[in-house]
Amino acid sequence: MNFSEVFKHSNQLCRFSPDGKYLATCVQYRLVVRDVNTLQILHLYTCLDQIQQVEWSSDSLFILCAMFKRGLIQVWSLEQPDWHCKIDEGSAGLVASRWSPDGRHILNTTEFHLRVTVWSLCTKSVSYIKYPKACQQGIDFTKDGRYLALAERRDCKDYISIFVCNDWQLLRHFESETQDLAGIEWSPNGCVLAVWDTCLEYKVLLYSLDGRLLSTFSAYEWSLGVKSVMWSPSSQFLAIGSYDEKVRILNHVTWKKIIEFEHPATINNPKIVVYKEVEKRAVLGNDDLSFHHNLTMGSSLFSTQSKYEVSPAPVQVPVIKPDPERANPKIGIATMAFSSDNRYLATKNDNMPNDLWIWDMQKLKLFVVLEQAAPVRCFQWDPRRPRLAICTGNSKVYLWSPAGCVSVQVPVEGSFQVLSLNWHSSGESMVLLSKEQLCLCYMETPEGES
Amino acid sequence: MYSSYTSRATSPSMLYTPPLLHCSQPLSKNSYNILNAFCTEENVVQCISYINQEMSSLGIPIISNGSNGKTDLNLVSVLNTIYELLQLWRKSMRTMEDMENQQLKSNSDLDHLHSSHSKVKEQLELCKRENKALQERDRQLQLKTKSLHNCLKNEKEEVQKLQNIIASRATQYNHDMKRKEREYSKLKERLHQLLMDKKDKKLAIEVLNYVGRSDGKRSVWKTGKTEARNEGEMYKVLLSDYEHRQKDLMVENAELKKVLQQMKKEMVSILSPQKHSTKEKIEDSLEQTVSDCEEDAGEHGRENISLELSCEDAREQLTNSIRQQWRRLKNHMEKLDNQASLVQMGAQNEKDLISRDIHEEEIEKLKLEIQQCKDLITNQQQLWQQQLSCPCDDETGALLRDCYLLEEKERLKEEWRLFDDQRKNFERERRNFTEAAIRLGHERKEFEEDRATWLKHQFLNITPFVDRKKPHTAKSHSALSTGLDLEKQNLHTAPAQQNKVTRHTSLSTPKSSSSSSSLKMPCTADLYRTLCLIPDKSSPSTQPKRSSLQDTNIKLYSSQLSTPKPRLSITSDDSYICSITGDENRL
Repeated sequence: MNFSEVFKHSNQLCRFSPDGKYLATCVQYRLVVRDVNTLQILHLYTCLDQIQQVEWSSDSLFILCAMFKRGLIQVWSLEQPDWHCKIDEGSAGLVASRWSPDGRHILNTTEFHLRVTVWSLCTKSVSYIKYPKACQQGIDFTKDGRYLALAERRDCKDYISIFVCNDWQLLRHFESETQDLAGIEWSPNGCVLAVWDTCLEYKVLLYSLDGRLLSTFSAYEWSLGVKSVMWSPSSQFLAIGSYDEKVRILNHVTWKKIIEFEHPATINNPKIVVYKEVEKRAVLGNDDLSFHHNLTMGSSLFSTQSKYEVSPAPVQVPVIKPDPERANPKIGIATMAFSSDNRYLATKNDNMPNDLWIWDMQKLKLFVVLEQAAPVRCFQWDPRRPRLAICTGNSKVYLWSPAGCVSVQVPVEGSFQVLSLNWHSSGESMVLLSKEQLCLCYMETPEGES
Repeated sequence: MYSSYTSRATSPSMLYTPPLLHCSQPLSKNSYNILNAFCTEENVVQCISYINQEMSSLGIPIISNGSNGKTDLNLVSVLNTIYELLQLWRKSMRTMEDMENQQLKSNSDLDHLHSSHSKVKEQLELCKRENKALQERDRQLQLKTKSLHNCLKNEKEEVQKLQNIIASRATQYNHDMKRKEREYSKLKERLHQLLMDKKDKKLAIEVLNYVGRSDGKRSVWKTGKTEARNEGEMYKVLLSDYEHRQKDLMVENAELKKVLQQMKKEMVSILSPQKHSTKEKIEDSLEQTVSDCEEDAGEHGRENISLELSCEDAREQLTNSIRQQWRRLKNHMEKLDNQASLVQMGAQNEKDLISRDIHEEEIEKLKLEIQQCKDLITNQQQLWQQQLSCPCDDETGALLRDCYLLEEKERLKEEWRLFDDQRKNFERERRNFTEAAIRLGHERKEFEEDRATWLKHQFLNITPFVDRKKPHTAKSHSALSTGLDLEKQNLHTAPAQQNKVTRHTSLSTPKSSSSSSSLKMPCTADLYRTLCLIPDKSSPSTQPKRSSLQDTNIKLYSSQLSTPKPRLSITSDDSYICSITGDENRL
């Protein structure tokens, strides 16, 4: 593994372009576009205020910079550096902004979720979509970019509108059978829309593209319900993480539950490999190796070394007791991710923050548990291979693949605490973000694969 | 006795009778001293009569029978009477003692009873007290439960109340929420209206120049047509998805069907031999099995149809047939299970029985043996004693010794004969060896000659004037080159030469086998293992042809990768030819 030098950034704003050629980073009110391979600055744009959000258009030709405080959006073109576009939402305010999949329209959500404004870069036209619902995930485009599903709230009832992105025509509008809709998500093949209710009620609804209710799923009642929903890349599975610390997998034929993944506090099955990160203080000047380490790592003189050890069968997972007085208790499955090949599912239970659970989706069994020394901040699958990158807010990156797992110290001067990470679309590099700095990490591609 | 006295209340001197009766003998002695004694000079007669009376009442002969007032006491009778009285008194004394003893005993008994009675009474008291306490506790507990029941009822009521409150609150909350939401939406509406009305100056887009659409097309007007097109496209997407899914399902279905059919076939194949056996055994089931077979045949045909058409009826039939087969298999398995268990049971029983029998037999045998041994010992003892008692004469001793010698002689003769035989064998073998050596010498000589001629030919070949000998030398060359060529040559060459070759082989096979086997043995074994060619039972039959098979393995190795089929066609003649070639190669 190789690491690039360190660059500055602010607000964790750093994005690879969809075609994988560029890297956009924001430093205060400046937007810097670099070449991914050489890391040389290609363009430098100056915005009117501190940038709060940045997003590439799908064709990697435009970049959107949002300044919510001012209700402003600035769009920059890579082909014509002097081309500019500024959208002002005026007194309506701005809370969210995103590209439409065609990369020629921008959808702005105004304050109080009054409306969604659709601005076009091709024509002067502006369209409004009223009554968008303020919720966890109220807008979702299909993967192919043809349709937009939007959650709405009118007359104390939830509705779902499906628009054709091509001309923003309303295709379907139907009431959803939810108390208080919390989120919607298209299946990757764009034919099924998963809709889930607020956490007070366990309810997941599945709608067809034409608005027919395909199925309803409810695992239990009278308890906090769905916390997260995730489709497998093949659209074959729908994983539902809930507050009862379980993940339920629905199949795409009958929409019934196939299996329930529990996250027990003790792992008794000896077949499950539990990798435990063990931290060790570097021994100073004890032998050549540590001395060498100290020389090469310089800054990490006092940093801890860590490695993974395989724990024997009965493993006790550290559990945090959630505060019952507070809203949104830290319990249950909030984050899940399928590997790109559908083979694995990684889950994190919020009251076991140090552990990452990896499930084998072929055998529908728990496969590996990674127990980190610190709470897991962020994890992401390699978009090409079954390889998982994890960061825990220290100066290390952790990688897991079916062959094993490894921890890598980021060899950077000063402290570099990896708060989040992002894979490049090729899976050959990823960007590591600390609070104010970023660096690229290059994987060694095995021969014959690249 | 006392009562009898009381009944005699009429006597004149009744006042004095009690002392007399109660006094003992010394008292009666004393009575003389006392002035007012029973008998005085004056009242002798009266006394006598009184005593007579008393005596008669006691059933003792009277002292005197003088009815006239004369006092002529018969001394003898008086003495007798006194003696009898004494006897009586003693008896009464004894009985009194007994009585007293008894009384004492009964008194102590009574005391004991009294004490035990009191003890028991105490216990009773204790029990009563305990009982009371328990009853009290029970009562208290009952009171408690009653109060708890009341509490529970109250709590339940409260819960109900609270639930009602919660429900009402929930409804109220929902109502409020709805109201608030409505207000909120109204506000939003108004805000929106305001925003729209104000003609917000700021609300604007500034673009240097509009860019083209990503697809390069121009946007189209929104008309009914586009709507219809959108619908159509949507349905297309849905349709393609469903088609895709259907295809997947079809593939899966087909695979499952394949598995099903294979399973069915295997089931049939498993069941059919069993059927035959049952046919033989049980004649009743013959008809049924025949019909089953027919059904099977029919079903096979139908299955094929079902696989292709997958129509409802066919599927049903397929599943039905599978179900039938399955049932049959299950029955069969159950039967087998039962049989196995029965056999096991039987085996166990038999084992038990046999072991017991054996035990008994063994014991009997051992007993017999012991008896025999005992007999023998006694015999020996007897003999020993006889010998000790009368030492044998010299003649018998010599005879006995002679007997022993004879036996030994015979044994020696036997051994001698064996030894002789062995010697003969050895000689024969030596002769064979010498013959073989001679033959070898001859052959060597021949070979030398051959070589000489060959060398001569070679030498002559070098010289320019020997052209006509070429074919012969070419032949010999080929003989040394490859086995396959030699095969052909063997067929062509003269029989004499062939004989020679075979003789060579017959002599050298052990050597070749030992040398080649040491080199090739493991690989052949491995090969056979990998090719699964060795059936376990046929291994001995392959043993003698080992050397030949080794050579075939070379051939097999070459052909193994390209075509796996030839490995099945190892025939004996093949290998035999190969063996010859192998040996020739060595030479």
